[in-house]
Amino acid sequence: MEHVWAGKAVGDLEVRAVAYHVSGTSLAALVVRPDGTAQAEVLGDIVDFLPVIDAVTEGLQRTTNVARGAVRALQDFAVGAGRRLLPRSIIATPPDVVIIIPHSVLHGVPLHLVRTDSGMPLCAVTGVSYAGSLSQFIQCAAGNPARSRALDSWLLGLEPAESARQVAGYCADVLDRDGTRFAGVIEAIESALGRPVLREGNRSSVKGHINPWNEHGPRLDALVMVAHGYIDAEDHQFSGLLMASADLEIRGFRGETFRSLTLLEDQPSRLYLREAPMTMPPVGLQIARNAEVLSIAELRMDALSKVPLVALFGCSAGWSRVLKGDVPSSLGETFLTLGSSAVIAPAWDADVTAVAAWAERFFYAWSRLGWPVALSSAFATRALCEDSWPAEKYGAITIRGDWL
Amino acid sequence: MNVKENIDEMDERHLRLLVDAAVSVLAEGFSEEERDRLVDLPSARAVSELSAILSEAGVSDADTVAAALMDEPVRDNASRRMIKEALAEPEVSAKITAAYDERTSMMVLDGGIITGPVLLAIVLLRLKRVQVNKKGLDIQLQDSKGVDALFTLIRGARGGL
Repeated sequence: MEHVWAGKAVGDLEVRAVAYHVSGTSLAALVVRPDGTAQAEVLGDIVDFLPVIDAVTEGLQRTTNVARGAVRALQDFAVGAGRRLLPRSIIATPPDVVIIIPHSVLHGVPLHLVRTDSGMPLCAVTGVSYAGSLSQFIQCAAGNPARSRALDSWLLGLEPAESARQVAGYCADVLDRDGTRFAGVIEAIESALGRPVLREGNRSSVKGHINPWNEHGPRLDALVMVAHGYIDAEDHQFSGLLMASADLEIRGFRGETFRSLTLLEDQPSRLYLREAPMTMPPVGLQIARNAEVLSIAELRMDALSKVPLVALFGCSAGWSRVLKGDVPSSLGETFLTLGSSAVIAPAWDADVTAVAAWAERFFYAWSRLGWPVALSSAFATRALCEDSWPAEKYGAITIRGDWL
Repeated sequence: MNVKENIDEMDERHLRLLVDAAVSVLAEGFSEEERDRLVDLPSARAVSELSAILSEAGVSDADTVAAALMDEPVRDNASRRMIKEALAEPEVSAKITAAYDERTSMMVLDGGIITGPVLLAIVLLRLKRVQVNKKGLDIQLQDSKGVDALFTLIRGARGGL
């Protein structure tokens, strides 16, 4: 196998940040180099771009068209007007890594799928990571343990090594009692890792899926969740992933979620607190198991994530809505706020078969080859491109936060 | 999965996804703008559009027939029967089955479009001839026989209007 990055040191990679600015009249991009030098480029009048942005973002909301790989607006965007939304230097000679910092109407626009001059989508030839703002990126980078490595001696190899990465997984298909398709994503990841994923499907609290790992569990490199995504159209803070509730029976309560607190360090007595979920699955949904929504609001209230990489494989877990200021909000972005350095999340509805295929390749590059997150993403995306998967499917999966 | 054989056992969610898939495949006979317009139609507008098509075809109780497709359980029974009509053509059936398989692979919670059965009736009535070629689908149901068959199906599903 050959690859353009083979043998390169991470410290030698060409990295650029593209920070957008949308004004009342124009759209501009600032291309920033790691040494701080920057070049501004006015991309055009904003009114010329608005119909294109509307068409592609609305087109990607049509689930059946996404499922069939038939979002015409995306195909037009990738080879047409979308190319004018990226600075010319990025399209002509893509750097190794691009951190995209959208602004205003550009949040949620699939800039990573724009075709470069080579004809390949940007995200297949370049490691692309999105950041909601420059300060968010700095926060993600500052807490990333990968940044403590010596980048000049971090070589990008193609020889797989035994994985030393510790990955925990959670999987719930609450609509299907069988659940084998979602479990297939975890199995694909295990195949890539060459070792089992730590399975913790029976935590007694929704937040228990996250916090215990940080407080008492093993040091984790990644946490993977495979579940149905849920978008609350009326209040986006209650959007999230549909998790299976534990069917527990503790002290006479059944089907509730609990959090246990040790009362005294040297005594076995514990206090069990009932923890009602903040939001339940949509009314009328036929579900096969007890379920509750792991929502943005619930995580923000009482959770921390010290896991550097979180993969949220659920429909639209990365679909963001600007709730205040210019800060996009999604379940993916919430994990960055809670302390994770990078999040993998679909920006629109995702296909479980495509997710499994992508995840297997991503985790192979990230875990066995030891590549940085965004480059592993490009490795996986390129493979799906070459296998003729439609852009609607591989393009849904995006990286947010630090690229390393 | 053999959709044709399992259609009567499908739960409401899977049936809705199948209707979505069928609308998506059958609407390939329209322009892209028209496809998008149909999918985005609010329910009242969709019912009124179907009613107009039925009236034009000479159905005297068009409003009632169209509105019935929004009512449970009429819509499910009618959906099953309309899809069976569409699946009668092997090549269309293959396309709808493939689209349904793709749709059920999506990790999303939605149960399809609420106006799905109305849209399915609209596309079935507006299309011309059921035939598949390299350019896509070409479907015909707009002769009087097809229209008669469709509203008889809807009436039958409701147990007589």
